[in-house]
Amino acid sequence: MVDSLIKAPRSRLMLRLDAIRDSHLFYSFTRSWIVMVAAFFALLIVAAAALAPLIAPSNPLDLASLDLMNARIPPRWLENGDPQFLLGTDDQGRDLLSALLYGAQVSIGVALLSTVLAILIGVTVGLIAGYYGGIIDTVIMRLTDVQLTFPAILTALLVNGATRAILGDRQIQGSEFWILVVSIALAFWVKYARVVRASTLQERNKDYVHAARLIGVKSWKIIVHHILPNVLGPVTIIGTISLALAIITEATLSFLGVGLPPSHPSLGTLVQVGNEFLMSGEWWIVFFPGIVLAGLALSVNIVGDWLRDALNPKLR
Amino acid sequence: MVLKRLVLSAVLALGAVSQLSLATPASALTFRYAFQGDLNGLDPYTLNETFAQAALNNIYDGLTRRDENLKIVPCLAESWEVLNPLQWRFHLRHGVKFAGGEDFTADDVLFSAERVQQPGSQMTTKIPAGTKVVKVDDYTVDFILTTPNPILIAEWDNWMMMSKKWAEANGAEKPQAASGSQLNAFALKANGTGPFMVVSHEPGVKTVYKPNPNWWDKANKKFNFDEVVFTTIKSPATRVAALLTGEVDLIEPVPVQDMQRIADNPTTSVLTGPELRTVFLYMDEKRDELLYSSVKGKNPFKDLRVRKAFYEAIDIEAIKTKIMRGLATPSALLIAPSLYSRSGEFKRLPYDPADAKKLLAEAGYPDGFELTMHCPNDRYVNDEAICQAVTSMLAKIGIKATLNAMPKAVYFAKAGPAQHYDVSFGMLGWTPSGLDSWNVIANLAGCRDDNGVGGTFNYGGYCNPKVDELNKQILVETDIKKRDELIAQAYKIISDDVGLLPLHQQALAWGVSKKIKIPLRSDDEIMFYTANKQE
Repeated sequence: MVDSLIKAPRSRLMLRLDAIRDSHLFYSFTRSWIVMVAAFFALLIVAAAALAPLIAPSNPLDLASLDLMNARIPPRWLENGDPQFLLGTDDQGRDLLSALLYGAQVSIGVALLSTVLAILIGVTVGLIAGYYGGIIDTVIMRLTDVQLTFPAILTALLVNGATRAILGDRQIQGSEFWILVVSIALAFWVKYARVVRASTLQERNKDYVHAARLIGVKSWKIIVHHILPNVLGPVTIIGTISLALAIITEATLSFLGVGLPPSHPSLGTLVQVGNEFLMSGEWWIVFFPGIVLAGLALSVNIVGDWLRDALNPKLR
Repeated sequence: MVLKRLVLSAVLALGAVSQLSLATPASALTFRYAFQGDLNGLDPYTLNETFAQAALNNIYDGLTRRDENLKIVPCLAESWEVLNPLQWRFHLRHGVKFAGGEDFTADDVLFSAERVQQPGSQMTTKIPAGTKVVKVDDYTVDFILTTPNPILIAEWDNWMMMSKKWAEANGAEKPQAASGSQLNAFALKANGTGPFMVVSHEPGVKTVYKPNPNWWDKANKKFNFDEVVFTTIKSPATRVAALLTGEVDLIEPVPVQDMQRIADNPTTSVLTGPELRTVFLYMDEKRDELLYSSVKGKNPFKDLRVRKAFYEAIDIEAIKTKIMRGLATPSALLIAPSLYSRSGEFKRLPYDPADAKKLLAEAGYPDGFELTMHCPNDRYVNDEAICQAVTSMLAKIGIKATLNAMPKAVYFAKAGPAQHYDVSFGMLGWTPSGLDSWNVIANLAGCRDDNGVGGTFNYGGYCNPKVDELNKQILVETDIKKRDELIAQAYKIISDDVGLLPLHQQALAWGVSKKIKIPLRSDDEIMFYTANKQE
């Protein structure tokens, strides 16, 4: 390492890249081909989903472009396949490949946003509980205990149902996406809160926090500027693993019919629609969304697992 | 010693007996069937819907009933006579007991007649307005009408007789309303004179029936099972799987995509026939401002051109071939061809999206508008898929319809009188229970108010006084030819007004195990008391 630094002056960017290349994280990444494949697959789907409007053969959200006469065409390579539809069409004549790309976009969007929201809530609550302690801590932690006794999917269903009941039929239209984001976030914030609280409890008794307090720094400043950066490590790891869970939860909710409507399908909705044709020989309508969903969740999970192990000092 | 032996043999004998009694349920024959939707309450006046009515018709009897060929035959009324066009006399059957043990008498008929017209009942049209019901003696009842009515008893198979004593004891004097999100305790129980009684009922999950020991018509008993279990299986694929694996004996409806598979399976078959049900779309023509729409301050559906545009935008042939897989008959009328001799004279508006666009432009909507379409997703064959297809067909003429599909229990409450027709555009299906056009016109096209007085199932609120006037004449006209002419005139007005938007008659399909013999009724009522199961 010293040699490479001496050899020649390098640009700042190159130094960055060197740092990444030489890091333990990158090393352990290159050691496992499973992780590489998973990361590649996850990136591929995320990229494809992000670029959906550019690369999709048609826009499945544009109802006017659907032709019912194209319904249930098998994938291109099968008998009766149509070159226009690579992976075939669903029961409404929607191009399955396009529906998949847009559906993945929705699924990933919901998962990402809900995870970010869950982290925001969880970290805030955890910091407050850990830093202030006392009655605030007790109340918050008992609340999290209660919520932990429910499976996450149940909480998500509950929040979802309650939101729909409160909003009523009229306001729901078009806000299904955000209802999903909020209900999944509310199902997952607890984990972050507990982890952050535990770290905060350790940090707040360290000398640098005492020092800050001594010179009269305000509490919220101590929390944000001093404690927060030091408790974020575990949060990123849980966040990655929860991302996979969030994808699955979104799919489950949509499959159960309380997620996104068929006119704006996510991967879960596509599986639900295809499920009706499972016994009828029209397997492609459920197969492709199912494979993409499983692949996406699995690869994100593998990457998350690896990240956890790689960043765990005990396993080094 | 002797005593000891006695005790021992007694114990042994007891053991044997208890073993015997344990063995009986195992050999009991059970008929199991599954439907895509729920059976909610058990009050026979709550919901005027074929499936619920059929389920309850196995428990309750009307004064009349319909046989396998849908012919009206005597039931709780042994006979009747028309004393004069305004007075009908019914002779009740003697010796009939309710499952609860009460005797069936004229008082129960009077009570049922009063109850069926109470608020909350969806069966008010079973008895013409102003009719007086008079008890002549315990087993004779007169119905005194204000106008002649040749089809008075046509729908009475679905006007079920309830026990006055039982209703009073259970606080069931008033019907359970369909809007009630909470079921009254009495709506979970049933007490009829019919072949079966309810053992347990979990709304939306499972209902268990057993034979009614007090049934008056045991001499003509056809069924041979000791128990009937009904379950709701919403997912089509799961329903098919349940039939194929023998978990249930009958499923309804059969998903059109799975008919071949069920027919090919050695232990199951598909019973098919034309169904009397017409599936159609309604448009809110009553409100001054459309709900759930981008158009404010006016109601585009009040404009004939808009309604016509919607009609012309629908490619009924594509729906037939692609969604119904051929198992539907596109219809120009709100009634099945077999129920009206002159149906052939009516033709659908052609599928013509270009003209539809032009009509919309003329009406002042060159860029279309937005609205929400409400549909059930567990009532008719492929209901949600049809509605999805309709929204994409409408999109082609610039109408942005957002689909809101929901289970029928929620849908019928929302779209119907219970919530004051809280919809602007949606789907409904109708089988006239009298198998006659009068019922269709009265229920689907008669003017109504916001509470459902009038044409209760006229969800769109279409109203043309001329139609109402004609239907009054149709009700009292006894000359078949003249009557058919009046009906034709009424249908002509409705068609010209595009008051409603007929789609098709769906094909009737029950998937059955080959162990089951059951007559397929074209009114789609599953009368399991007419079924028989091989052991």
